[in-house]
Amino acid sequence: MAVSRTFRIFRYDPVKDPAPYWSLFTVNVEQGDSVLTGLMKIREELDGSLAFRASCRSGICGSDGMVINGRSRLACKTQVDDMGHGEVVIEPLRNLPYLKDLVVDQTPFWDKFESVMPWLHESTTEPVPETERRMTLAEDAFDDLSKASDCIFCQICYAECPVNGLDRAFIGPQALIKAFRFEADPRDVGTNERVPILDQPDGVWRCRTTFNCTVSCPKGIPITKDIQSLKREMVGTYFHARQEV
Amino acid sequence: MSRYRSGLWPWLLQRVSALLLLFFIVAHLWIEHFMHLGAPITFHSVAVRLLHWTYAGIDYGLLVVVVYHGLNGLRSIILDAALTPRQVRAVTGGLWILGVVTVIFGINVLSPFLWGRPWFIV
Repeated sequence: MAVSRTFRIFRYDPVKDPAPYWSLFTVNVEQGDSVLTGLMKIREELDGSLAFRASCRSGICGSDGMVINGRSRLACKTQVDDMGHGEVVIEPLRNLPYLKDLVVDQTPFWDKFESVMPWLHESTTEPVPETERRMTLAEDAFDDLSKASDCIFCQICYAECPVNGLDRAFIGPQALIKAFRFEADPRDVGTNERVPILDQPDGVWRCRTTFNCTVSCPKGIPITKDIQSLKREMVGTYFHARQEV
Repeated sequence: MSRYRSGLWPWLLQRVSALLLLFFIVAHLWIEHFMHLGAPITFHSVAVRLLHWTYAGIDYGLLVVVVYHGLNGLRSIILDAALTPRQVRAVTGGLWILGVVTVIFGINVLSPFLWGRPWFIV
């Protein structure tokens, strides 16, 4: 049975609006409908100018991260029924500049992500096989990095991190979890290249273990725990390097 | 960038000092409250205890560790405000001075029991 629900949505177009404002829309939603379904109905039936990102509608692409009733969530994984009986309040992700309505500028996020060199650094000393090169990973080694591999770049951890809000130079939880994903990979030999990025005041050491990232991650990645592992690794590489001198 | 400025040492020493703090607090509480359970605590009994280097050493250690741990924690809270490198240096230097002065005053309070008179400040 369809139920009438009101959505209070943050609106702002920096090009033409002098200040942000709220728009109220009332639409009928079915039991089990997601917030994203409600947003699509609003755009199709009430206001075609409403801007938001969405793609797969199944919690895989990570496009539709937004603040729903005060917390950053994926709109496609959040059911309207779970948002209580009042208005569904929707705002853009925090800690990123506004582009329009619920769309934020992702540039700072992607720049930081790229800075940790999130790819597998191959060993150059190993002989290259003549036929096929297969960089297989042992099953138990995969256990350590499997959750970190689940990241869908939704930017929710970045938006929920209070340190990112205070210090825009902080590299942020997502870049760190991606660095961890490759640092935990026994096939990777890129530690020396990543240490100058991670071992900085605005690198791993700025994390204050508030656990906001871990709590809000829609994929259940233990982000804070893995950042702590990175910190311990930084200490380990420091003393290891001193021993070699 | 040196590893000191990177944040590695403050992070590591905060954890080391936390472990030392745990040891010193337990030792301090044990000595103060449980070793002579029921005996009245008097100035004389405290003075006699602090004549012993082991007991005095635990209190000196507790003083140094608690000051370092507290001020290092305070520094990391202040640094959350995204300060400039110059401001960070000023905060770090200021807290070091505050810490050293606090420890000197603490030693001065404890030293009469060992030497019969205050050590640094008469």
